[in-house]
Amino acid sequence: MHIPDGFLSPPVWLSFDAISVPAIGWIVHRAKKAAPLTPDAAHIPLLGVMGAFVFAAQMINFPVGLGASGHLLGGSLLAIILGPAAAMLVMTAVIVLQALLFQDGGVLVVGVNIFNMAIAGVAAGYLPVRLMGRSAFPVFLGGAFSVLVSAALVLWQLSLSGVAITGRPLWTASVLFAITAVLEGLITVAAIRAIGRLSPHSLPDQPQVSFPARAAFATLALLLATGGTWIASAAPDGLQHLAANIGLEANPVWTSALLDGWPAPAAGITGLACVYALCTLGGKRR
Amino acid sequence: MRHLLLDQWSHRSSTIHSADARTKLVLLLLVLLTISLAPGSIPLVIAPILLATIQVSRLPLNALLIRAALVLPFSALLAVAIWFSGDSSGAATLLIKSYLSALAALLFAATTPLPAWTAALRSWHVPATLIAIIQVTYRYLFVIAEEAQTMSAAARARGGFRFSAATGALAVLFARSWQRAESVHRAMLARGYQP
Repeated sequence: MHIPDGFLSPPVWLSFDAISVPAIGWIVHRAKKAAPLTPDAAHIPLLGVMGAFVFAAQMINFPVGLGASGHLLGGSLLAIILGPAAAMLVMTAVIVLQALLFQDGGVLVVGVNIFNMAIAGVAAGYLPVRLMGRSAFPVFLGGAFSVLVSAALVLWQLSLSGVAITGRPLWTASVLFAITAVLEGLITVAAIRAIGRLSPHSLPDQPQVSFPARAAFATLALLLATGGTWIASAAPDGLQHLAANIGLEANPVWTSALLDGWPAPAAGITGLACVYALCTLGGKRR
Repeated sequence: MRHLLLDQWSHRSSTIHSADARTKLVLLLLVLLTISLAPGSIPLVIAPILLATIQVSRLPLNALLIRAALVLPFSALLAVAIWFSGDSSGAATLLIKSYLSALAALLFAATTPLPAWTAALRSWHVPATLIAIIQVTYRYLFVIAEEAQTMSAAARARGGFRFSAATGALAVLFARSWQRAESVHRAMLARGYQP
């Protein structure tokens, strides 16, 4: 799900980069304040080594039948263990390293990938656990949501960029994403359980569970946002004309690629921000 | 391992290697921006510049070209989707843009060691906490990845992972990482680390 350079149009990646930069600043601030497990000094080596763990964990293959296998992506697992802000920082570090050292994801679009996987993905992966506690079902939901939200964002950003994926390719992609999401959920549940047995001291205290109606509301909002994004990607007719303005098609005036095509991403991002604010409010008032 | 190779490349010496990391980072961003904004196949004009720079940095040309192609399978998938929706020039543009961008980023990483580019980011006010996490992640990446590889190799020798066994391996890997983080922290404190 790492978007390489060259896939997205300038307005789209500029918008998301512009969100991610201040967001990271704020998250650093939050993570410093939260430091849930250990005093500050231990925090940086812990987070760094956890980043290395995420890389290494992707080498352990989980068989899913028919000879196929998948691996942990780790966003929601980290969020459960380290808390959301610290997990976002670790995932950001991982994404930066993947972009520069592994050619996995682009450099100009690094803010987009950070937004999709480190910010939105981790937030979505943490929400169910925050609201319903650390039993198997919310942990599974968290793992699955973290993948689905990132995937829906990628499809949406592509369609905003004029790369319309419709029909059979969209269905194929959706099925693959759904399988990945279920697998991530299952691995996260199994991993949390096994870690709880093997090194219980590394799991934080159970977060206080909030009122179920709020949990349902926030989860519903999340599902709506994800589903809406999916539908927006599936029926992008209104967005097709953007392709003409954007880098992927011939455009005589280079600068116009910078100036056109802003309204759609701006509107979409505002919508996402509203939904996220609602979710946070739902989660906060315990 | 492949990434070790990149680390070795970045420590060679040439005019490009010894240039200031900030300058190189700005140039990289300019090149990527040009590729992103230029329409059609115009980004191809960047190709000779990149090739010349690879020559000047005395890096193995073929190895770099092949490694940058890591991006192509993913791009090709999307290009096919675009092709089927009837936009064959769009598909070609996508391939050209993503490949050239990957090559440019690779060239930067192969001529700039990690301490140099993290220092450049630091001087641009990227939060110190994030930089420190990136550095520690990079430092222990190979150590922990080697443990993971040993575990997978052992599992293959026993006939491959089943789901539950893979979970166990993951938990062991996690517990070991956690212990390592604790000892790293103690070692840092012993050497006078101030957070």
